[in-house]
Amino acid sequence: MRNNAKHFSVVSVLILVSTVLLYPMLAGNIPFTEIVLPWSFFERPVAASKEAYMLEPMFLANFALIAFLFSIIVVPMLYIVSVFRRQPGDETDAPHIHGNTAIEIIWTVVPIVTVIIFAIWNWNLYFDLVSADEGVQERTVYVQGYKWDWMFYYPDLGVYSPDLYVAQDQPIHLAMQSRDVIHSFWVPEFRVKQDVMPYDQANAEIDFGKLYLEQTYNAQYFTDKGYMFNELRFTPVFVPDSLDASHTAANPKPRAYRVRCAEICGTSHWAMYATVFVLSPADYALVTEANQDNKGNIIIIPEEVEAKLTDIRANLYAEDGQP
Amino acid sequence: MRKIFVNLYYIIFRSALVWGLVGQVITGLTTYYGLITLRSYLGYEVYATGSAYDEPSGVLASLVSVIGFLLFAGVLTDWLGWCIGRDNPLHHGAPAGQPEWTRYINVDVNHKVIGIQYGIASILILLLGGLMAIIFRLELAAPGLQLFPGNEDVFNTLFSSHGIIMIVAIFSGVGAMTNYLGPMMIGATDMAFPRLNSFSYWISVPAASLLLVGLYVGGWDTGWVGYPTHSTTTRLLGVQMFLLGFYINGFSSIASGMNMVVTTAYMRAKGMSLFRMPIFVWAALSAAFLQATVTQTVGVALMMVIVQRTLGLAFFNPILPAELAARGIPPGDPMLYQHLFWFYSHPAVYVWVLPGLGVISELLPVFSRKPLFGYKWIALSSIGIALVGMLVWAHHMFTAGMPAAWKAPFMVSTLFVAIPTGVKFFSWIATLWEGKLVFPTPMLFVLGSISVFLLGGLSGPILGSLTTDLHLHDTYFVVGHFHATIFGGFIFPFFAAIYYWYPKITGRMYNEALGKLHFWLMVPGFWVMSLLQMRVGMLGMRRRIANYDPALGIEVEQALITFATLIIGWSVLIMIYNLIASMSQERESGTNPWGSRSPEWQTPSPIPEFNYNTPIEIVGEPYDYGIEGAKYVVTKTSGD
Repeated sequence: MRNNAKHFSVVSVLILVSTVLLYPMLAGNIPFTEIVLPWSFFERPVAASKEAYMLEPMFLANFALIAFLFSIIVVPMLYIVSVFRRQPGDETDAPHIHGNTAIEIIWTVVPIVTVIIFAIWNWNLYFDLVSADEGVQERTVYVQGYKWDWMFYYPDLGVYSPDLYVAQDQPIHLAMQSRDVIHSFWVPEFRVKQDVMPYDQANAEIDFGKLYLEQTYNAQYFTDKGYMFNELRFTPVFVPDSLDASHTAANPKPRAYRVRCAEICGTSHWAMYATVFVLSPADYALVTEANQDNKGNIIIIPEEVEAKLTDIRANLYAEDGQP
Repeated sequence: MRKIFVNLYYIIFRSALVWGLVGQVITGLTTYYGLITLRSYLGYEVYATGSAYDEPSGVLASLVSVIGFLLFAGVLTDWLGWCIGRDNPLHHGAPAGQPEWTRYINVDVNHKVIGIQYGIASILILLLGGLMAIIFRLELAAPGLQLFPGNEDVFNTLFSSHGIIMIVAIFSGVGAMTNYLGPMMIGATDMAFPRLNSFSYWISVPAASLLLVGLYVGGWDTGWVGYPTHSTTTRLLGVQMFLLGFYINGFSSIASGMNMVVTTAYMRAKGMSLFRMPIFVWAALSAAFLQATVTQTVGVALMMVIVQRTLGLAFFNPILPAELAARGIPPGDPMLYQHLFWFYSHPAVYVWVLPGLGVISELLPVFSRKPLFGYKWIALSSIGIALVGMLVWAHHMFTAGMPAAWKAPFMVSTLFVAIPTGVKFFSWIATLWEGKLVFPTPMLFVLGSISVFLLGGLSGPILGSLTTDLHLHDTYFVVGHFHATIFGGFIFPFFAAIYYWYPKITGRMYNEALGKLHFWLMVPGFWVMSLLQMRVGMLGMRRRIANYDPALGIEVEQALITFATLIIGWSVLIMIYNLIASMSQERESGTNPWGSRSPEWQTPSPIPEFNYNTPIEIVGEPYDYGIEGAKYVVTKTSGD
């Protein structure tokens, strides 16, 4: 019995050490400090939306849980495998221990409590993520997915665009619909994803963007008509760049991220990309201005904005030739 | 030389397998061309899809061909005999006048023969599915399209069929373990319904051949989930064969599940109360209960897609033709399919994993010479996983567009799966604690299983959490999680079981050195593969893509994943060589080489036709290692 207590305390210390070492390796930060490690196993893409920042604590909590639970199983296993071996020539059995009710109740109840806490936290966070912030003017953009590309429609300007142009810090509300099969709108840097279902009841061939042109912008009209949309909200934010001092939160350079279809939709599913350009509010105002009298056409990007985007476009398309 | 010809004669002319396949081809082709002739005679448009195959005729012909297989193979002979009042007693042993080994390629009712048939089928199909994985992993080893430039449909077909073919293989493996071990462990002479048992095995053969025909007629690019509206509109006709093969395989599941539940209920030896059964039986029972109760819903979903494609009933089609919409006909809903599909397909994972976890719980006490810690709690946790597992299906649809409020209960039930699973982990560690451990190959695989299943288990909550799933859904993180769960919960325990019961099945010992080589290649290989899959998924790698964006910066990881896949493939070949070569070795294993207390080890190896030469009686607890003279199984002798 005395031996057992010794084993038990050694293993407990080892579990603690393992958890403390494992967590930074998984998550890439050291808790209670500002230190960020240059490499971590579960690296995330750069956080480019408010939602990505909101989700970060949940990811870190999950990594902490993984580090602890991994240690609590693997450390005793390695210890047992190296200590409790049968000695050569020993043919007897091990001690007869068939169970311990107190321990069994503990390792059932403690996980139940943990699970309930996690569920409540998740549920609150989820509602914060998906609901619109009160008192903030959202910008709605309609999205249509089809094999194998995306089309965006700005109801306030009445213009179409093959890529999504948004302003930094402006909350975006996407109302999405598919023309054929299920697609899924995902920008890894924004951390949020939403499937795009084919809901159009009237006609597969209908170009729903054209319908908005003839109506004043009124989502209720389409809901009444039986149109349904899959909704997604995000707010693009400033992404710092340690190598570029001229890129500041007040005067940011444009950033580009790829929309990646995440639901198998046939032959060229892998290449179903679009690009999200996050512009500074000033640049976005220029785009809005240039498209004031452009209803029903493809979006016009003014010269001075396009000049900033040329390099980004070249980089995006260079490596695999896919826009 | 003459012996080879005689054996070939038995295989080609006298085996149910070859007869069945010939029958399937004959009935299938006859029906197909008969229907085409009839349809063109009646003025219908044949080959309407512009393809070389006529889809409606193909579907009906496939269904008929399955019946053709069963008739020609003789699976239905006894039952048809009953219809005309013929008395058909159960036939035991090889077919009249044939050598003993031909039992394994003929319709046989003995549960051990059927178990071996399942086992061999499982390994062969695993190899096929693994080969497909290796091919598409080679494509993904580097960015750019190397193997299938301009022909991504082949890639899409490969990963889709990898999924469903592996599922058929795993169900076969579950059938192998349940059939071979279940009746032995409860002291029964056979399953409760031997003919139905044989039907369960043989119906999965034409199901598998339909899937292979599906590859031939164009493949399918829907993934193994086959979501409408993609599966209802894809022009690749293999999707019909995939749906039918999946559907037919469901009969195998339902029948074998029912059989196992009834066998456990009615066929236990004297004294074998439920809490005295070897723990594997509890796991197999939970899995069988699931198989018999949830498989039907996926059958409904698949058949609805088949009917929608063939007859045009728009169950899942949200986009109606204008003339129908004008008449006020309501549209279908693609989400309905996802609910029906996952109501089965999530618990299906537990059907595979529960028997595997049962093997872990069964083997640990033997190799640590200690009782299983918390037997009753582990037994009930299997039932708990099965029951909770039936209520979690919509967590596969967190991003699909359900109303937000629907998601909360599914998140809670999903996270609750962690509790019975955690009970199992803690009990395993407590079983090992202070044991006297030995490490032959089966024990190594059990420890490997625990470590790999742990990876799967720990990557579960982050996916079950509603918020983090918004990022991780449909990424390679899910692929990593899923493979860790299935390898740790089924593949590694299955291999452990093969090594562990190999002496009982053959009376010979496998080669220990090759077994250890297999372990030391496969488990580290799998760790590398699965962990890197999770890493690239977190970084933005999507599932089911033929080419990945080099801007993600995951080229090293992708190459390593492919390399690890190749290692895993080679290591499995080593196991197969070991199993075949050891059969002809002179290493007699003896009756009970591991010193187990379980009933099946108390009977001679190889096992007699009816398992126990004299009936057994249970007089104690199954895992009383460490108590001098504690009895579990006693053999009744005449006069007692």
